[in-house]
Amino acid sequence: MPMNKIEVEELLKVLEDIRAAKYPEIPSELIQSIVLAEFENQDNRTEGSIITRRLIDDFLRQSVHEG
Amino acid sequence: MLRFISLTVEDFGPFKGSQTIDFTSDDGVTFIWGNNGRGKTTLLNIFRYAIYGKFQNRRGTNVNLTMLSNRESRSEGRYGFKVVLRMSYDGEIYELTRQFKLRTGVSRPTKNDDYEQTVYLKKGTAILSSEDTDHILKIIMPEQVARFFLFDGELLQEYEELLMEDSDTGAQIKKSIEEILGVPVLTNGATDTAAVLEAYTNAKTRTAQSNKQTEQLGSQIATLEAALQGHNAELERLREELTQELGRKSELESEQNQNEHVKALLAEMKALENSIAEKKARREGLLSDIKNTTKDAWKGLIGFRVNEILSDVEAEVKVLEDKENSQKVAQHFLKEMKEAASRKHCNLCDQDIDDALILKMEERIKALEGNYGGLTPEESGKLRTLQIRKATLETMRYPSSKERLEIYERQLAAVTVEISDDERKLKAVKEELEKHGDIEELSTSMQNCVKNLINCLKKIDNLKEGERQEAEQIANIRSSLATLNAKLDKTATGEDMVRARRRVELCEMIHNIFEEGIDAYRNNLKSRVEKDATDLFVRISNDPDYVRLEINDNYGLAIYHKDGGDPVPLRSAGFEHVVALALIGALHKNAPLRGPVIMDSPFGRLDPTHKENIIKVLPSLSEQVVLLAYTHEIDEQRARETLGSSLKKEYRLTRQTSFYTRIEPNQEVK
Amino acid sequence: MADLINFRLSKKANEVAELLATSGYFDFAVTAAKFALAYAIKYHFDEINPATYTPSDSDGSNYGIGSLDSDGQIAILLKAIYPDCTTPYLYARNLMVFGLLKIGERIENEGLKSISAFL
Repeated sequence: MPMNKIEVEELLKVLEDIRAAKYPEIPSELIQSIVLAEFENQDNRTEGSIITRRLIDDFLRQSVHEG
Repeated sequence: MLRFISLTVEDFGPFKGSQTIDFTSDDGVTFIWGNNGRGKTTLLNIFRYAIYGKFQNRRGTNVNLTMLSNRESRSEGRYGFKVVLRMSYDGEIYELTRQFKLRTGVSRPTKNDDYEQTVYLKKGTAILSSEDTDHILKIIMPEQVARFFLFDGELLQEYEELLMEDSDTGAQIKKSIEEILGVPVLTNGATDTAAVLEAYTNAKTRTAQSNKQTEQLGSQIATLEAALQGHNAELERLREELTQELGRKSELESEQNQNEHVKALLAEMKALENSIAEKKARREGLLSDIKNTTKDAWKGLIGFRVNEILSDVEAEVKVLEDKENSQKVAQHFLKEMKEAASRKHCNLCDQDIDDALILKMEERIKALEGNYGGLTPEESGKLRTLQIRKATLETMRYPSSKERLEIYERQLAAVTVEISDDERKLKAVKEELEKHGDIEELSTSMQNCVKNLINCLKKIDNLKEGERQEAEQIANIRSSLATLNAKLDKTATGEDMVRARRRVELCEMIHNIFEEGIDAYRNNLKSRVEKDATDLFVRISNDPDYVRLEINDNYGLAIYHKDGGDPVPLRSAGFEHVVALALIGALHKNAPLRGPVIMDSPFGRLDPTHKENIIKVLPSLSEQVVLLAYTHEIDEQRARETLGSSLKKEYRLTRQTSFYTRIEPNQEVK
Repeated sequence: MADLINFRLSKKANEVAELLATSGYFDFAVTAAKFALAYAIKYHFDEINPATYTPSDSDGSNYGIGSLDSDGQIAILLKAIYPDCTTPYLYARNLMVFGLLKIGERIENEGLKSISAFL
């Protein structure tokens, strides 16, 4: 699927400000990836939520290790 | 951004044969002139048809497509119609073709089924699959935001509703505005991250359940979580149904508008709904005044006690201060007496004192020294403490807010009564409307429509109530869950629990970023939209007294006078247009979605000065603006001069026959 | 004795505070609780000794002192009213609970029609 240039800088900037100030433990790229997934799949909510779930799962697997 | 390159219409409405409008790729304005009945509005709707495959009449209801093919073409044996819209988006060229044509095998249509609608989208030279076509169209111009790209004067009038609380139309426009501004990206993000958070919370609960130490607590939490899930699903369902019903309501209402009896009732219903909305807003305002007052009401409340304690403290202070003072006076007197005794001469009466008297004096001095001994160290300490206490209490004598609150409460009671009066009237109007479902003079279909509308209104009321109840239940369960989880976090210490908890924590953070982002982004947007809309408004309104627009939570814009005070009330229809245009321009400036603005006679009842000012700001509304106007609606020559090099193209819709309009490039343009 | 940093109201008092907040008269439950503190001082001064009063339970919501008394005025006030007070927030909690219960009783008898009636 061809992807469009995304004009969501303002939106990302707002989230990045919150992340950096209050939740620095969360990587900036993760938030960006979720936003892009949601932007590209506004017409397909299921797809958007599946990708979001996958992104967070991957992140948690890396950051919380099984003992 | 999205840009239209050209539009070709074939046998559509009054446009017979194949005719093309070329737009330029430069930023600027295109004029399309046409007298009444020549097809301006049809042309606006053709753009809508091309993108969404629907055609709406003036009242916004969908039109039977078989009626739209050109009459003369039909009599010449050509049935159906076709539209080709060429666009550029993100560096790619797209060609969208939508055709309404006879099914294979049919040569003379007799019914709707004889036609079929086809659509295909070419990207460059490749034809996209129907899913990709759908996806691309939804991304470049979602139907919910069409109102900002394709509009006429009537649609502009609706923006007034944004200034009212609880208005359905207002709520729909607000939704569209947030859509174009990209808010759903965040709300969807918040919803999806909430779902992931829920999954990890459930996982944590399962871990707790599998652990002996936390088994019981885990089960309690699991039960509540399951209940919560059920209520959330129900709330979601109710919300979806409500959105659908609201859409259905406006469809049914516009259908009903054709009937005079019902129309009057609907108008009354609308007026009452607006009045209720306005009064509810007033009630909210009063409640917020009350809340502001009660915030500090405690100070006034303690005033009485403070005064009482203060007078006790003052009395105590006075006793000690008196004692201190009288010692000072006595000290002075004693000093005088001692001096007189030692010199055996009284300075006051300038007489010598004999020895017998001296002896008496010395006795007195001794006694006095005992009586006026001054403050003991404890008493001095106590006096100092009391003095500080007194000073503190003096600063705490606040006036009571009782009177102010009473005034607010009286107003609140009055407006509450007014609201319930209006609600009662509204109920009566609805019942009256209900009766119309059985009035004989109405056609059966009309009767059905009234009945449907009544059912729809009832359903909306029920859905709203259901929504409220679910939200309440959810809040209750959430609070119980929070308590139990706090307990669980204290009790559980196992490593698997620590990990499960950590995952939940991180998920919470991710979710919070989105949740907090929604408000932050909204506020950020609102202030930018407010600023840009004010800029445009000031340029169009040309009234030096109107200095500023202020945005509310619904993106409604209130006009403010240079002398400050309350917003300007009772705005004229003309000014509503100006405000709406300013809002649309500001939205385009701030939206991640950008595209052409195509407007049909948006001038309404504006005077020539305002019309000219609107022409002036057209290039600021969007990079590509197409204006459909009837001749003399605006002064053509003045418009050309005003726009100068921003005017890129001009077309004229010219009459060939009653059923045939030609789109011709305007010869007068340079 | 150390003063409180966080405090919990009793369950019943918490319910009254929540009721006052949801009635629309107060922005937050804690504002209503502060109001109840002043109410207790005005109308029930001789009935409650905040130094010794003990709430029946502490099952209500948890509040931080910051949200109760961001500018420290309450502490100053209570020390001025109760000269022996060294734990103003313990006093505050007790007065709030007591005041909320008293307001709750009145609401039960008269209903909650106005807030100025409590002033």
